[in-house]
Amino acid sequence: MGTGAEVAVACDVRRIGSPVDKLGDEALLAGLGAGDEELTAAFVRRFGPKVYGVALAILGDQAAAEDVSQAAFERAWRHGSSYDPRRATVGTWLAAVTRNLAIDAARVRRPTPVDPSALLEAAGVVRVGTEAEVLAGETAAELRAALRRLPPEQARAVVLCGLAGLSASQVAEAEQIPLGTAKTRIRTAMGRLRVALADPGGCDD
Amino acid sequence: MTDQGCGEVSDLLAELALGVADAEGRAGALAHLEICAGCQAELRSFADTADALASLAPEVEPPAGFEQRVLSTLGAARRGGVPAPAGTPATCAGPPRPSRSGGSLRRTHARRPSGSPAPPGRGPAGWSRRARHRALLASAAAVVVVGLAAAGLALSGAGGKPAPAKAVLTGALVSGHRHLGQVVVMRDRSALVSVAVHGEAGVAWVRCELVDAGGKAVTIGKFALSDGSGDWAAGAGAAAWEAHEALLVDAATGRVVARAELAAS
Ligand SMILES: [Zn+2]
Repeated sequence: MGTGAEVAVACDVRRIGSPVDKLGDEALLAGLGAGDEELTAAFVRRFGPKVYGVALAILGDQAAAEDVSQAAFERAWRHGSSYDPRRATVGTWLAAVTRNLAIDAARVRRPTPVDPSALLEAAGVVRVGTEAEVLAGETAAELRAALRRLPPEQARAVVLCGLAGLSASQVAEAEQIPLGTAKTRIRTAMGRLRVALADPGGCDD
Repeated sequence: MTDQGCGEVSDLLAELALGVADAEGRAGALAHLEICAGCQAELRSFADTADALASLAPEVEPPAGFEQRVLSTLGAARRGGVPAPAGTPATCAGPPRPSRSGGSLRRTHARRPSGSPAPPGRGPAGWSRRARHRALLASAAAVVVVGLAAAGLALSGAGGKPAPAKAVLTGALVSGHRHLGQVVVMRDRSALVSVAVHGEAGVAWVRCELVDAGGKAVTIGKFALSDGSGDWAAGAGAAAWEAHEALLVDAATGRVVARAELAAS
């Protein structure tokens, strides 16, 4: 990102008077990288709830989640050039940036108990996706559908890691299972989710 | 454990991609990933799944004033400001600076309503939670490297080709005869130093130092141990190239807690 072309496009659009909030995610990220105040503000406005939501799911503490969110935006500014539009949307990239920072921050905190069923529900996994979502082939809808198809114990293990940032040993403790079992569940679930995303229409088991 | 093969590493890829692999496993796997294009590609593929999963977290409206605080942090960083140095109390974050535009980036002093007090045992006295987070996040290099490595994005630098094997130094962290963990030093663009330590009860904060052949020590950073364990990484800059030994020093007493002799792996 951060190419001159994207910034130029963004500036042109602004010159003709369109609100910057209508710009695409990548244009806003380019504006952030280029130091444009207006585009930066729009970027923070657009992605604030997502970044904060990811941090809060892992840290479970508002103040800590805000600190990590701030750091995530700062990192997006400094390292936006590592964003690769072929691999993920800006939102997904930013979610991953935030997750990594939040997990680092969580290492010095006491783990807070997490309810995997509540996580699944909050992530919209329990609700069956609308036909439109499934037809649109959205990654998130496909992933939710794949999570629903997992054996429940695997789905719990993988959201405890992937959404709450728990380590395998913390999953073992939370689920009261041996560490090896936790690791196997995480690995198997991730393998199935990966297959489902690679081949959404296919049968993964 | 210093020399993990594809088998062991592939068992860990899902946890690595999720950013939750434990300290020891991650340090060893990073060394292998640096030289194994096959495992790198696998990790990338798992990372895409893990990132999509992270993105399922429900959006939550941040507290009032969030946007202004983010924008003033960004504004300060852009003007060449760096995050507050480790140990600087949050209340000394510096005087307000005029915004160029006088508009939306103006620094606000409205702080979020203070949340619940920090639980006991979460850091040395006098360190605000914010300052500690800053300390943790301050080394921009640590943020970059840990983040990218966990996401499997930048293990091989800009060219996308695996770095030569001699670019990785590893060493077992020992105290007397006790094995306490591992240090990995990347002698590449990232200059990453990754430290995994466990079983050093009674020490809250350690300083990581790299020592060159002449005995000169450079402090790379400081990190917290939780129940005697910790897992940390930071960029070492030029010191990575000169490093012969890594030391972990108790930040409170200055005692050398553990040392690792570094050798090409
Ligand atoms: Zn391999």
